[in-house]
Amino acid sequence: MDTRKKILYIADTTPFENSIARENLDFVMMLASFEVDVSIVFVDTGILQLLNTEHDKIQTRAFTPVLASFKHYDINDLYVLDTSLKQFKLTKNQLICSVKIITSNQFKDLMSQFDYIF
Amino acid sequence: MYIALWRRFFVQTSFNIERSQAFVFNTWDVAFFFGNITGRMNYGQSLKAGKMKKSKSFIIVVNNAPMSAGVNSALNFAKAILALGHELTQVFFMKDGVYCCSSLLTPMSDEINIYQQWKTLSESKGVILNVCVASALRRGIITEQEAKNNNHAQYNLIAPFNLVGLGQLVKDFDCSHQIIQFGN
Repeated sequence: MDTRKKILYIADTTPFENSIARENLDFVMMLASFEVDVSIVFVDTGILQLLNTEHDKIQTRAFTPVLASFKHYDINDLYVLDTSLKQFKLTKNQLICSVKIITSNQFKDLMSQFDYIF
Repeated sequence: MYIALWRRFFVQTSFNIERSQAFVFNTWDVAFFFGNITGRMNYGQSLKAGKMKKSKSFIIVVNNAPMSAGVNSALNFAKAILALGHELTQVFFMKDGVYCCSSLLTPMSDEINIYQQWKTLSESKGVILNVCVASALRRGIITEQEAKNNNHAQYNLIAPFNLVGLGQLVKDFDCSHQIIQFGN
């Protein structure tokens, strides 16, 4: 019997404006360590978290190690909304980790598959 | 504008889908949620009309700092669900929400003291108030024990607030119908 809760985290905050984005990623990583299935969708300004940045020049911690450690926590489902990519004129190759690109309709269907959405 | 529209789409969608049991609230979402939009019944009305299951259990997650609308909405929401006979499993303070738990908050006399309000609610209704330890220590919200451990002269987190790990939130996932999150 599979009783693991399925959780979707919608990352929509900018990476360096405040600590929210980083704390949220830490939060979902901790959730994953409690035997919860976690998937993440990056939307709006949230996709900026997936860019390679010179974070050390602005005294902040990098996102790269967090994103790299996701696979150790069994967080394998990372999604990006296609309209958000277009909004910032980005392509899949510019992102630092491999993601699946979804449309708004797929996003809507995706949300129905989860027990909790954060 | 785009974000506002997207938020609206999201709340509306998650409201329609029975299986997704958590809603993400921003300040404008709460206004939207409680307002009666285009003939859709608001939450209180649906409860009264028996359209939603009676006596649910809730977890409230507070992410906003004091003096923001999100915190006040969370408090009002907590009072409302308790008044309607629902169970409030716990209130979990995370991120900037931990600032609400400092016993040193000293607002002006005509402003709401959010710390006192939560404390009163906990004392009168027995609501469990949990504070995320990772967020709290980062922001200088510490208990007497933690102050000793870290050689600080003062502490500001006292009962009824409990300094706990994320496991305390996760363990209630199974016995809770809905998680309502206020703020990002």
